[in-house]
Amino acid sequence: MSNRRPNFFAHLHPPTIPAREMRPFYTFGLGGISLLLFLVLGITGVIEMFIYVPTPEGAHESIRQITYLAPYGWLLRNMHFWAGQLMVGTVILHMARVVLSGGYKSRRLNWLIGVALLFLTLVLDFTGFVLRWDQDTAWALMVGTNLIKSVPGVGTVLHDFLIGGESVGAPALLRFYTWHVLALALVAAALTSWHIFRVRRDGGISHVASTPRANREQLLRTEIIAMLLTLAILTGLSVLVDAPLGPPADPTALVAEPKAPWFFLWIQELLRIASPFLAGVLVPILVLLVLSLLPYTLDRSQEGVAVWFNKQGRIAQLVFLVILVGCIALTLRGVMR
Amino acid sequence: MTDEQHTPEHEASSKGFRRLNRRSFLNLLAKGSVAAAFTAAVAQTIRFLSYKPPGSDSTILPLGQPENYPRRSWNYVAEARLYVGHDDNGLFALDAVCPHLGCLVEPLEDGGFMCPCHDSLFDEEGRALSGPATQPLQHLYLWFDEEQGQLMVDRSEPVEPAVRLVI
Repeated sequence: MSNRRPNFFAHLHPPTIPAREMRPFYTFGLGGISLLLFLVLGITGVIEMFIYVPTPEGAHESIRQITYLAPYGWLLRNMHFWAGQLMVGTVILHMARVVLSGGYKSRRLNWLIGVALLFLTLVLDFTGFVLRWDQDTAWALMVGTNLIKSVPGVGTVLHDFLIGGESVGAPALLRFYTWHVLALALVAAALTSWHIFRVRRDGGISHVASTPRANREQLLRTEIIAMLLTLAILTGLSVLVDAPLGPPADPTALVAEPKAPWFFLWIQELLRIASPFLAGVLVPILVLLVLSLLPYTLDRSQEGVAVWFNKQGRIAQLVFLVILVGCIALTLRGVMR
Repeated sequence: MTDEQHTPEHEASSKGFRRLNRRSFLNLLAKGSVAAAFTAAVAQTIRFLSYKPPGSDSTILPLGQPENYPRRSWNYVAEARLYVGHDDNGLFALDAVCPHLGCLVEPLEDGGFMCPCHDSLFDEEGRALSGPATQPLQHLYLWFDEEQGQLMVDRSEPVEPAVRLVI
């Protein structure tokens, strides 16, 4: 193997990497798994575009065609759905790994790109959820766009910019569709490439100096195992659990229990107790801001790189965990309602 | 920049004044026009994306025959997204759109309304009792159109809560 000329995919990897950092329980492969899910989303998404119709009359009907009539359409849609849900999880866990093991030390630009990618992942998931155009979508969209209106000064302009009219209708669906399948997806693809390029440029994933090295073949083997495991879990979930699809969106129908998509349930819980601008706009921005600033403020030490729960970053780790646990607690409260 | 040429221009600027010669002028002009074109393109793109299709939904909607709303009843009218109430003083229309974030409020068994999205509570007059909503549900202008022979509502015209239509 090793005397063969490396092919393009091998070229994406360094010739050798530190052996300690290749062990699965250092990174759990979460960045790579997120990338794999992103690729799955791109491929399944493009295939869905051949049938999906982004109009209020056509959306729900065409999703039913994908799900019930097109051969293997159910599997395609379920895989797209589950890859999207799993990716929210793996991206957040990847972020947790980076904070807790001091991975962002002396590579703060890449940390910022990562925070932007977390934001994009959530927005892509939300815009994708809107495309379902069922009853849940109608209310989440109503609440979400009214939240934008609550921003002082530019709220109404932003609102019209997002939905292309006074109220949610055909222009809004087309806009969310375009953001989802092209505009945001392109930005996410570009930032992902940059994110990975920065890892190589910064000398591979963060590591402790002077450890024994493993070679490219070993790395590839580990990655292929992680990939197969991820695809097995994704396919298993997609075969066993169907992606939800409620009755078609009707903005005049009374709904008993409108729920935000699960990754925004924590915001819905906050909206029950605080003003729309505070709970729905300021707090999420503040969370992203605090996350962005962690390596610039609370964890500036260059010591403790690649060490899980390193002493130098304790405060940053604590702040991160408090935010994470807070969001999870609010989400659970929303789920249990 | 370490690979910059050491030219008289740089000497001049390092002495604290800038001499505009032909080369630096053209340079500035080139950079300026690229920046201007880029700014204009971004601004026009934002304007393009802020386009709203002409014409808006009418806010005046028919509610059917007054007989559909007997005394001491509440009825939800989906097309108009409001409740028509009929008490001892007459008919009135109460907006079903929650003033908090736009969900539709639902009637409670023992009177009043609740928003299912964020749990705001309102009394029968639409006053906000608890929850995140701070504004009341609006009473809307209601009238009987002789020509069409039916009740009409104007969703864009709020009225005082005490206003009733007597037929």
